[in-house]
Amino acid sequence: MIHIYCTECPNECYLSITDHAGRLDIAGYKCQNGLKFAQEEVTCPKRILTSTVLYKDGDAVKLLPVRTDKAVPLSRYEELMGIINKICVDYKIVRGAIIVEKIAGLEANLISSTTALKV
Amino acid sequence: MKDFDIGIIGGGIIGCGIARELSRYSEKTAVFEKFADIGAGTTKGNGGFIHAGYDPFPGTLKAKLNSKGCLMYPDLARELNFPYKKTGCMVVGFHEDDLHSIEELYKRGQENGVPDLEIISGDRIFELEPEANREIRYALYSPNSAVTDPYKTTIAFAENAVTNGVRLFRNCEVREIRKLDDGFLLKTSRIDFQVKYVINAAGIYADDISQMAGAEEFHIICKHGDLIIFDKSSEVNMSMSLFPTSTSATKGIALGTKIAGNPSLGSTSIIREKGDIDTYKEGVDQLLAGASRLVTNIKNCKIVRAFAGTRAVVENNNNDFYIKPSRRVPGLFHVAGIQSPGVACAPAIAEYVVEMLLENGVRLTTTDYFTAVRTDEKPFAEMSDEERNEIIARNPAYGKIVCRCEMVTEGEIMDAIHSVVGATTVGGVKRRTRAGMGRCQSGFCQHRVIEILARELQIDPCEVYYENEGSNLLFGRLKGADIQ
Amino acid sequence: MAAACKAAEKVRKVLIIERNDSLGGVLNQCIHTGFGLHCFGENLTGPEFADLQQDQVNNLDIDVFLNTFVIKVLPTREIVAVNSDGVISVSATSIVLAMGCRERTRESIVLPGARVAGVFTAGTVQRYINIENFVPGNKFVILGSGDIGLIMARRLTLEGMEVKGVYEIMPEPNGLRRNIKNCLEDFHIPLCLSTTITKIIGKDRVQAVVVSKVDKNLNPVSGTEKIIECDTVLLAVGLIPENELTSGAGAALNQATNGPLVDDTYQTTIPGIFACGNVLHVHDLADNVVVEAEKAGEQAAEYAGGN
Repeated sequence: MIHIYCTECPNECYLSITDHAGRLDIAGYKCQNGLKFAQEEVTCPKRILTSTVLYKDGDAVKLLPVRTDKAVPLSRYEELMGIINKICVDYKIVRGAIIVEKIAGLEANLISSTTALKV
Repeated sequence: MKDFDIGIIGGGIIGCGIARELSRYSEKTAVFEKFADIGAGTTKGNGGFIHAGYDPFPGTLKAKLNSKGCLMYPDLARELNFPYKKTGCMVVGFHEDDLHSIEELYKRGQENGVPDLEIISGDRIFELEPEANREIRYALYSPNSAVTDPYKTTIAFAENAVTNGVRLFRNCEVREIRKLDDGFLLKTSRIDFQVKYVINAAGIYADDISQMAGAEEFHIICKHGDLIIFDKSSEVNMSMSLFPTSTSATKGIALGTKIAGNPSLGSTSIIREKGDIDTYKEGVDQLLAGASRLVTNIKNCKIVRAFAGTRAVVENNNNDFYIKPSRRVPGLFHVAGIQSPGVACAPAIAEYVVEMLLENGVRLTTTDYFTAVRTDEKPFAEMSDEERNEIIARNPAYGKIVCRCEMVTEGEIMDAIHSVVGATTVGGVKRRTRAGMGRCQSGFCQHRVIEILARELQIDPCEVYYENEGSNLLFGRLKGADIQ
Repeated sequence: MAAACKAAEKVRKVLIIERNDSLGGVLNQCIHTGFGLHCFGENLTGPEFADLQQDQVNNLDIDVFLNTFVIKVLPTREIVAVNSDGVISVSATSIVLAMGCRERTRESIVLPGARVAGVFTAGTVQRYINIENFVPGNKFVILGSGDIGLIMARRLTLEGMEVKGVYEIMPEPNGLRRNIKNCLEDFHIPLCLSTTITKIIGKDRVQAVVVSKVDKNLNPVSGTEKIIECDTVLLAVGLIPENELTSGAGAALNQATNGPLVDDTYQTTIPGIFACGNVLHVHDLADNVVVEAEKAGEQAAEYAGGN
């Protein structure tokens, strides 16, 4: 049995998860998000990934904050960072705009965290 | 290869003071400073007190130069435009024994020619310094004691010297000294220099320099001192400095207000390894323990900066300055072991050194082209609104505040970089403008200072040093290193 | 921004004076999520949160002075500020102070040792890597397990720098459980409790630190010292409200919080001058700051009576 705190919301419910050869026994959650969270934590932990990409503002090179719009597997982080570090946005962009659709074949898109209208 | 008549090794307050004095003469003088900036050795770790001269033992060189130097400061500060404030000070005591020490200092002061000293007691003490601990019974009052900014004084000396023709070489470490028929060959970390005479003002490295020249005549031990600067908005607001009567543990510890307005405390004095300027917890604790005896409220004050310095003491020399021509090597002059009261004595040492040169056959020809006066802009933080509007109208960069804690503008930082002896490092900008000396200790402004240095010096931000080579703050671009 | 938007519902003219070149303050460099759950019903990053607020500001008729630094606030509610046009004077019927806080420095904890390049507070490192695009170090030791320290441990690791460990002087970690998990456990970064840094070693740049276990009185236990090689020390040792302007206006400060004393309308001891956010007391969540700021903005607008 493992114990973890759910991190889906500030309630931080204390969950207990027992793995009966593939069948999971989960207790302590107060909502469906918590249940789903527990299931994923054991099988494939996922997090929202936030980072920055290069952004060309005229001649100046700056950083644009980005994020995945859905949680992505923790195990794919290194690969995702490799993709992110090669991106350079050189167009006007608004908050929420998709920079990379279905990044690394995952369901999540890489989107802009802010609005940058000068280029 | 460059040729000079006089080469000064060491660009601290002493070396720069001597350079300024020598710039009155047409002979070619150069200063060789191993660090990236002047005043980066012992001067950098100094608390800024100008002692009046009652402490040195009569008959010593210190005694001869202290009062003289102290009294030279008011005119010099006006001439060269560096911060100076005649705050006065008191050496205070609690018991009979302390009174004996105070009387001893008074006697020494009289012999050393220190004017206006008074032994006082009772209410007069608290009229002069309302913050003083009410348990204090006796005091030696010295109205001529003062405070200055040791870095700005050094910069003022250096800039005036350079304006008057002295050459200054920074990042220039003397590594080898060869005696020639008519002088010396100095091999440095930059280029070679040929000089007729060498003045050894190399601080804690003066014995190394001496040895390099084949004149192994003295050994230096290093006295380390911790210092503390408190927040400006502290409840404690002292008009003058207070010293305890000295025991070996407390000698030299002063509690006062720095010229910039921060209460300050320092320094301890303990022998440590050459070059050790680390902050020691024991030192800080010792300072704080002693300070609350002088001003009880000091324990409520917040520490803004704890730093440390080291000063050179020539061993077996009666704790005195070692200013004399080399016994072994003609043409080499030592100005070594300049510990406290070095700052107070600096102007007098400069004149004394010139006399020493003349007495030893060095030809010095007074020049008609000497400019005694140096101008400097008032800090933006001290300007009136009219002055601020004026300077912003001239250059909008003065309307951009970079250091919020000390209200230092981009314009001032640019001035500091492009000044006669300009800043080339973050530390250099800090000492010239106060950017980074405030409450947040450059947390907010460091990245802007680096940006401005890089832009003005036309170097990459990753090449900007904090102090000396190897003190890079930034290691490279995070993303897109190939694009930049 | 929150106070201004709320006040704009009631009064005619609202002005925001900001010293940086854009609104948002520290939110702009907080590129991690955890913002907006309460205010916008979504889990947002700091820049997203600030951008949403900026939209609100743009939609209302709020004046903004950027790159403008307030020098003093007088009890008469006159504000003196400076920008590249010169010294400007603004008369206000009411004022909301929202200048945030600054980080506690190495000196405020008296961390002994070498004073060399490579000792940074968390916010400074965050600025370098998230905004300025620089690598301020390769091997980090982090002192303090508050949220900012934990978040930086993750950021640094994600961006290719090494975090040797997070050291926390107290026996319990300081930050949210979510952050211990998502920032340290996810990345296998060691958390060392009841441990502190007792000395910084280095010649021109940090080369190592000495860490030591502490006893229940938080004093280093001799014999437990270890030398950890690193080139950067990141200090996450607390925040202090930034109140020069507040005390300059004559408002009394609360010794416990270091922020101004306020009544239940968020008014300081100076009539018409209100305070909210981190300048009042250090908050954990930006959403709570917004709740407080809206109240303060509303009260300030009430005081201004429609002006």
